Amino acid sequence: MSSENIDVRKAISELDGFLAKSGKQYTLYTCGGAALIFLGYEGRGTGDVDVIMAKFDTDLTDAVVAVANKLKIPPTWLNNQVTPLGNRLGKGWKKKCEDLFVGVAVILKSISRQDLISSKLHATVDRASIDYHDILWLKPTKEEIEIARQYVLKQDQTETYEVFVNHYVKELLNELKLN
Amino acid sequence: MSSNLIRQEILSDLIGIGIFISGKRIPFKTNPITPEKALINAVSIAKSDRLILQLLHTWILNHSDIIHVESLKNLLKDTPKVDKAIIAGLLSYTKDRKFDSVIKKAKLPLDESNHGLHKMMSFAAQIGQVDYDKNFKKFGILLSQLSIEPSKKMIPFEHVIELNPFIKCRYMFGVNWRADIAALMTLNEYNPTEVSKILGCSYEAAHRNMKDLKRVGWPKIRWSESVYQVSL
Repeated sequence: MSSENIDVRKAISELDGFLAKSGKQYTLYTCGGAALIFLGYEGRGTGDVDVIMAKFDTDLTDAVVAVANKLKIPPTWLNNQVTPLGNRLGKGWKKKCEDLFVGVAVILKSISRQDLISSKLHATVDRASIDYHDILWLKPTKEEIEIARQYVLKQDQTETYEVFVNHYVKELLNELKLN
Repeated sequence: MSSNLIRQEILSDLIGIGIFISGKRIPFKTNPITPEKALINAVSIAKSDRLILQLLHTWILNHSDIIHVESLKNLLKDTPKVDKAIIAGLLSYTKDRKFDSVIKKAKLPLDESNHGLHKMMSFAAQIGQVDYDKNFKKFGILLSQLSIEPSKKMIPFEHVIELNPFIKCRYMFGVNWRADIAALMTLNEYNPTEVSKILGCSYEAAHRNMKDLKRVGWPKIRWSESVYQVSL
């Protein structure tokens, strides 16, 4: 892969190759666009992979940079900026994750479907609907949207927040014809 | 052509100018697309995709210095009015006077349907969550306030310069027709008529610049006794 062909699957595979030499094993928990791409959502995501991980050790950091240099992609292609999500998802979220990639040194897991819907709804509300199409692609049920709505309401206690959340949920239900 | 294929092509062209989007880039040799064409084509999907619009916004803010105004003006002649207004809105953020001639004719009246933009492009502002984007409002487009995407969404520009012959030649020759013609000449053996058609410059400009560039051996360059092939 070069800047000619940006494929997160290829990047993760390369990462696995570099880390295999370290003798260590890494389980990476991803969410967002990269998870959707692994789940089959083509033509939408940016090329970066967000993982929930407090800190990258030296071997991981070096491997990420090595992959970036080899594939000519940003050195932040794998980053942990979404780590606070791990605190919001509630206890036991890791147990509900599913495997996206199992290599020699790297196992990439996605947060569960419900957690993905919940976090995407939260992102949609917080980022002025940028992630709206991602939720539509997931085709959530009415029940899944309600669980997501409850999750999002916990993220902000201001008076107006619930009003905004409900507007987005109403729009979503209309578009999915779940009303 | 299916809308999915068109979208894939557009995303492919955005990779070519350095936007870090998942997808496959068609080589420039097969698809010699200028940065301006990539931006204008992307507006068609940006009308319903805030992420794409914000990526364009971020790219233009970072790299407006290499946007070729003459090329842009030529392409915008055949572009729908609403697309022109969106480009103008994005360019107006740069506050660069070189875009004045593009911007000044792009204003549209406010329209009930918001000129066909997807509802979610202005939803947050409609419900009072954020402000309407002031820059776009001047052009008759209602959008929720735009923000800048983080650097992790952009390919490091030294790689883009290596990948994109138009951008590389603009750094070498300045942002002008000569640079774009030089770039095309490294891709295939075109004649002036073909160059004029691909770039939108006059036949005279194509012919004159190709003649000058060929005179120094472009794309082969002779320095003293050695001959170097320009490798782009």
